[in-house]
Amino acid sequence: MSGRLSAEQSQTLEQILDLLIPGNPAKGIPSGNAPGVMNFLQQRLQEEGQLHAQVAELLASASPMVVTADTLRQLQSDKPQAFASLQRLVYMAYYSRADVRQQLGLAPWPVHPQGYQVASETPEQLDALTAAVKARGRLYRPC
Amino acid sequence: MSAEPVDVLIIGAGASGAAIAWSLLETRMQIVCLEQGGHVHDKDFPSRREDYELARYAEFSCDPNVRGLPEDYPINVDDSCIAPVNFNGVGGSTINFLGHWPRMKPSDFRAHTLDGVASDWPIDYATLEPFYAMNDRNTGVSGLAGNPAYPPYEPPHPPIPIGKLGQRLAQGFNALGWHWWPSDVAILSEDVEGRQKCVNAGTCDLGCAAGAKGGTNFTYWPMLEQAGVELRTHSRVREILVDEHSGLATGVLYHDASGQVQRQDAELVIVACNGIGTPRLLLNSASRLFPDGLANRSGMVGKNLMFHPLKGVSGVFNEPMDGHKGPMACSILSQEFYETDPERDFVRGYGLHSGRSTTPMTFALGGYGIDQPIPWGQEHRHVMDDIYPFLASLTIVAEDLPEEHNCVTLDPELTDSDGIPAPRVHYRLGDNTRRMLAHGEARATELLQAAGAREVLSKSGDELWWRAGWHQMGTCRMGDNPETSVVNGWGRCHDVKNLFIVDGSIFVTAGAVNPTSTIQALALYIGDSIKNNIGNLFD
Repeated sequence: MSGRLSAEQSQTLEQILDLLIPGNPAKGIPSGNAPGVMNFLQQRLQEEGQLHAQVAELLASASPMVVTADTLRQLQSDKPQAFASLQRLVYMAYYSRADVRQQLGLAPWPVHPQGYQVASETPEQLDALTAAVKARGRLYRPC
Repeated sequence: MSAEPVDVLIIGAGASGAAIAWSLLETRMQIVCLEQGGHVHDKDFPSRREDYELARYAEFSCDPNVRGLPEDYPINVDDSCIAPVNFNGVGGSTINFLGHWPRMKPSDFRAHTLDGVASDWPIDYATLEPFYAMNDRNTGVSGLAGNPAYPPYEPPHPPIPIGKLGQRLAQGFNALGWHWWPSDVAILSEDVEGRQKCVNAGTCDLGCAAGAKGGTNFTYWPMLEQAGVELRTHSRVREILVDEHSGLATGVLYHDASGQVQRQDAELVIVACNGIGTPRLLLNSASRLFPDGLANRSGMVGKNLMFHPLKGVSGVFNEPMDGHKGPMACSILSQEFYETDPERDFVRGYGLHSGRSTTPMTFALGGYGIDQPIPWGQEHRHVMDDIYPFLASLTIVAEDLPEEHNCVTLDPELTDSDGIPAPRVHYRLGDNTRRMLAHGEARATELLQAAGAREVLSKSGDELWWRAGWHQMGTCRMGDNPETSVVNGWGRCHDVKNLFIVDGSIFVTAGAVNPTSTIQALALYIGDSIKNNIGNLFD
């Protein structure tokens, strides 16, 4: 079974996303229900029938009530495999977003070609750092 | 279908296949290399994509059972506590390796004489040293000369930055009076001949699009193809053929890109398929003359599989450690506990390798040394905001000892996409290694605290890294005695005199260092030995 989630299922899933990854408004970090995450999930669930079935079963257990952290803990206990699949998928969807990466201190752009600036230690710095190691002398067994 | 015979047929275009092809170039022999994967172009590396991290869980996973690409072969790991990882393509696992480049040490070649365990190698460090140096130049190795843990040598390029994380850990090592040194790395610290220096992307496992990492796709292969070595990609060898009268290898049967079986004859066959692929191929090449697998009269093909079991310990510091900036695994390395100490409850030793905290998705899905997703809910927020940016880690890289029950066999049912039987890995952790890892975990904790960590995180109990099988060694080991080893001291099979093996399978012991620099130095040494013995090569 695969296909798009129904409106009711989507609504339940959005609540779950907020609970799985709470945001941090003080740092401008969005919750798991950030823009783009649901689209990613919908697309994966359409592609992977087994995953869709697991998530649909999980959502059926949660829906239509208001989902709380206690509900989620119960779901994790009752359906550990399906819960783990959803958790993994949500982490992938959320952390593949460039804006989330940026809020965590990483570059939003692909890491190539730009990468990151890291200053090289000067020879003097390395000399100072390694002086104690060199002073202790040879550390290998000659043979 | 059969092609014209060639002088030299190399199976595998990874670390060792490329190195020996380079060594044999000057002989002007006709060289063909068959590689089951294709060219992986740097423009296609995932690190050029915005969602680059997703590739780690799909087509660029280090685990062939996850990738499941047509050029991959599945590996049955039901009977193993460590999953082997690799990459299949031009460059082999140097496409996704992390570029850490320590050499083995003189004592690694004398484990039996010095410590009464395993066997001595038939060669020594001094014999390999010129080939280490030659390969370092060809690869573009960066590092700092003067490491007191080794006989003197000088890396050809200055060290890459050890960064804030490396400096902090180094201060901890100095405080305890323990050895450490900036890591030797197959990563350029300066631009060299069309290759860009490292841009500190932190995604070495996703292919280095800068060409800074010394994968053979950037180092040897462009040179080799230009020089006329024929590289046939998407060509998977099914079987090595042997003449029943002479006992010599005559060539191979292989599947081309369309799956059709082709035959390629050769005067000399060189196997370079890694510590799992090589025994798999030899076991799949059984014949009337070799009913237990080609070159396996000793019964040692597939036996004595060694990995480097890993354990990760992370420190949480009070300032951000910038763990996502810089090569993933290469900053500093301690060999304080590398050599045997009779005061400890294990023989041989381990290294403590600095580790960075990777990228957010990878951390969330199975953070450093955890292998399990981090918690959800408010705890998730706490981990990502208050722990992840502040991590500096150490990996305990333990020397595994050769044990016959750790082995590679053929799976009776599982096959690759060409129907060739797949390998099955049987591996359990030895008691010596278990004690070594426990010692390492305690020392890593001590070090992180000395470096100022406010909290130390580790996996519990005996849990190991699951996908830690990067280094696959020992399954066709070298030796002077044909009854206990597969190849002689220069890589020639005792049982088949025109068949050579040049990959990590010929290691006698594993050391406690990443093996690629030794694998390639060995391949160059074997190439040199072939040239020196060319007049009576098959006697």
